[in-house]
Amino acid sequence: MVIRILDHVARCSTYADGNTIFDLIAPLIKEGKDVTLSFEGIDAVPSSFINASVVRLAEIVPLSEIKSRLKVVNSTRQINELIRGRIAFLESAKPTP
Amino acid sequence: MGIIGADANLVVTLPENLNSGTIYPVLRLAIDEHGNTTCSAITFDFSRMLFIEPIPVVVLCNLIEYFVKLGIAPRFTGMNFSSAGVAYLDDAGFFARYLEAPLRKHAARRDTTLTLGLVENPRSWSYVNHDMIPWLAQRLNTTAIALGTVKVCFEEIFNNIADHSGVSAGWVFGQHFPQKKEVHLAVSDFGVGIKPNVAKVKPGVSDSDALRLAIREGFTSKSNVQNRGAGLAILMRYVAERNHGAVFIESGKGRLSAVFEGTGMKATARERTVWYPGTLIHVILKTDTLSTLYEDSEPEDFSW
Repeated sequence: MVIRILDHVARCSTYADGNTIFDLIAPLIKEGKDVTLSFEGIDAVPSSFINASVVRLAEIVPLSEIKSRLKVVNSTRQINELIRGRIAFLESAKPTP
Repeated sequence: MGIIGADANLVVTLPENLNSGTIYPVLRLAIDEHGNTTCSAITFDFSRMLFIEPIPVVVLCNLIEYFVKLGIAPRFTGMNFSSAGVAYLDDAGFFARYLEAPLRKHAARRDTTLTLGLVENPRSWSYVNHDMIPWLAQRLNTTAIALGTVKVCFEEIFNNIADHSGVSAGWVFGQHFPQKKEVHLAVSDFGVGIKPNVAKVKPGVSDSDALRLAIREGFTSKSNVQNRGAGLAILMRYVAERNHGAVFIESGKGRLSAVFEGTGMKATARERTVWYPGTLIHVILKTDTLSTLYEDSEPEDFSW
């Protein structure tokens, strides 16, 4: 399923904006479905938005599941680096079993 | 924040050169380290002030708002039209805001300065996207899209004010210095400051250690459920590491500077004798290396 962010929020600035997207993605990822997140029309986003929309997915599925189920399209270098960086930080902070 | 005692009218004579250092004696005179004042009336005397830098403008505005919130209407005196500092404040819209009209008939915002603004939290996105970034794009002869990363830096700052400061707004001002190839931007609030938030999870922390922790990615004061401790770390990375600019944060008795040195960012925090009521963030963007940030807004295929 493709979710075009700007179809659901007017802007990508706050945690609340990201939370709206999380509420759309989370049930699908949890059901094991693939999700394509389109950043069409968005040039850059702050960490609050990514924390709420993407990073929080780690609270419901393993990081490996996020990486295999979530595809990001129509994005920019800033958005990509932020998503990768935030997820990589979670990976590095995760205690070794 | 409050009035303790009831001294007569306090007259604050602004120094000849009001800058990031000389603003502190002004603050100390008006507010103690607990955020209280002893005066029941205050007058700001501009008669000696010849020059003012952009950063103390937001501090002065916060100070005035502090008294307004206490129900004390500050008075202004000694505004000399021949003072470059007074003219600068007049052109920035300072006197128009507080005296309901500019001092000089032809006072107008200068091309090199950003509109002086008190930005309420719900309006911060609009301010950054419709005022700050278009002004910066025009000054730097580029597009708003190319400044996406710079925009994010200020969204991070305003999100921090909304999430942690306990106040509803911050003052913003800035100036482009074409010859120095720098843009100086300042955002300040007179909220709770950084230490009280950090102390919730690190009791007894000093102001400078609180600043060190606050910029560490992943450190969170857990002020609210939304915190993941990334905003200030991202601001530092984009400005100091990528742009080779600088970020200075002043809060309580702590001062943190983040600059590019050698091959990466160097952040240094220290304890001072002076005290800042709230948080002041001073960002210096280097205009000759901003193109490194322009590339961030370019389309790129994503892969994990």
